[in-house]
Amino acid sequence: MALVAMVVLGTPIAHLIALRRFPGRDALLTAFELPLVLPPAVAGIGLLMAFGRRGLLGDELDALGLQIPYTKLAVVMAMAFVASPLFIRQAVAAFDALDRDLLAAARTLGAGPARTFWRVAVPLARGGLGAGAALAWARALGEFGATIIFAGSLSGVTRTAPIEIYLGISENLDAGLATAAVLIAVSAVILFSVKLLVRRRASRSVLL
Amino acid sequence: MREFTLELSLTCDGPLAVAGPSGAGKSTLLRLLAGLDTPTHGRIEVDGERWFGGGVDLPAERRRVGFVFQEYALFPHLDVRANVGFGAEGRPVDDLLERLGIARLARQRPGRLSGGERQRVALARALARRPKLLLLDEPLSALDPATRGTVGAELASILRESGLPALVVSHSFDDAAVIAPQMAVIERGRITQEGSVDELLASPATPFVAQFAGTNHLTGNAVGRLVSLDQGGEVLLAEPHSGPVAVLIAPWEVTLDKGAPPPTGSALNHIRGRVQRLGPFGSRVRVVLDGGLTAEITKDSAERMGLATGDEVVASFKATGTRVVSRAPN
Repeated sequence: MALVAMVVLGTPIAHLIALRRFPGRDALLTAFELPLVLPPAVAGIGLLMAFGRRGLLGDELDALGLQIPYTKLAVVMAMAFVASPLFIRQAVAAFDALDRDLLAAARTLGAGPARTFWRVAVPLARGGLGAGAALAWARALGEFGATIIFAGSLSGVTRTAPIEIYLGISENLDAGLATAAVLIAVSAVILFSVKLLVRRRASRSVLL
Repeated sequence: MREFTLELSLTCDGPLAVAGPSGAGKSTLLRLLAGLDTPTHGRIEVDGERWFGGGVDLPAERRRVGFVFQEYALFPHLDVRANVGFGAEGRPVDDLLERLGIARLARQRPGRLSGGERQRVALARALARRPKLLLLDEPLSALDPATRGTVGAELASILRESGLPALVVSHSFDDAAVIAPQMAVIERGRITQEGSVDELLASPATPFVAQFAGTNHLTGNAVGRLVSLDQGGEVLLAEPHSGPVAVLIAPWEVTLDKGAPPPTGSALNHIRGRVQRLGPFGSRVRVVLDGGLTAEITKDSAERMGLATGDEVVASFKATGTRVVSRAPN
């Protein structure tokens, strides 16, 4: 779910950043890359400050009867927040590598910006987009710091695999190790697939 | 962004070549017409329809142009049929594929096509849009020299049959001459001469046009049959003339000798110079001397003479090999 949110929102944003030149473009890119360098715990605190009951938007959310922290939605938001830079960076690189003549050709053939985006830009950038999505997913899977602060660790609700492991090693070492092994395997498979995908597409996008 | 002032009103009902050196504004002209670039001010009208100016700025997708890009810009993820159908708005494209001889390639991806095939696909795609105006940017420059001639001739006949006005941009006089019988030469954003290829060859309006067309263009003052050249030296003409003139000599009228000119030849004009550059030109070799004089000789001759850049040579041509046009005094 975090992945869907990242791809649906991230793709058009990356397209915009890669192909348009506008004032504040670098600032925007920096804003989207910031979570990459923040300690996850700080990211969690940030989310709490923004969406928590006593946060910036707390009163507005309260009025709507919404409570985000310590829910499944909070887990999704924490994951998306921390992992999205990986996707956006990869997507910007993929769109940036597109041949501008192909986009211009689509325009001269009667395709407006939306059709050019769907029929030309996205299909041609799909290798980079796929690689970015896979990396972001792998990062989201291992997300711990922001999640435990913003979403807590309610068994069966917001207890993600990494949190399970953390609790596991203090209570039941074997169960913790088993979960850890599964996570290592899944992460390795994802990273390896990304490598294959990128090589097959001979994509010029950067692998972090 | 560089600045161009481009004032032109072209009436073309067939192909018109827009030729000129790199950076003259040729490609910019096409991009402005297509709506891919925006002029700072000015007016664009095609077929009585306002595309730009006076508060109008029709977006690229609503201007009915068929744009053929220099590298063709075929969509690599679509097959030939889908490429051609992209701008066809649902109209069938089979007839068009048939007409351009690419029906058998319909299911192929562009990556597997030859240069000539790619060009026909790009043309078919542009025509499928039912354009009011065709714009072709250096259509032959992506091809190797061996196929240029035949593909150019094919292109010329397709353009003629389409009956559409077409602007064909080229930095090569020879490419342009193959594709379009009419040519406009653009220098630094300005059209300096417009006419048939023959007219341009016979009476180039500016030194650049002469050089571009490959015609030698020497200026000087004529008294009788003798012209004293501005660059020094004299040229003997076949007929008497007077006043400021330009002497035009086709490059194939110029012969080259290393060292002193042979005294027995029938050529009466000799100009000494140094080889500035030389390169193949079809089956011939084009030799440019430091005085600006260009000679066309066979490959064999160039090899026999062992000609190289920097060599001291004498260029000779007969008085009957010259054409003279009067010009305004400097």
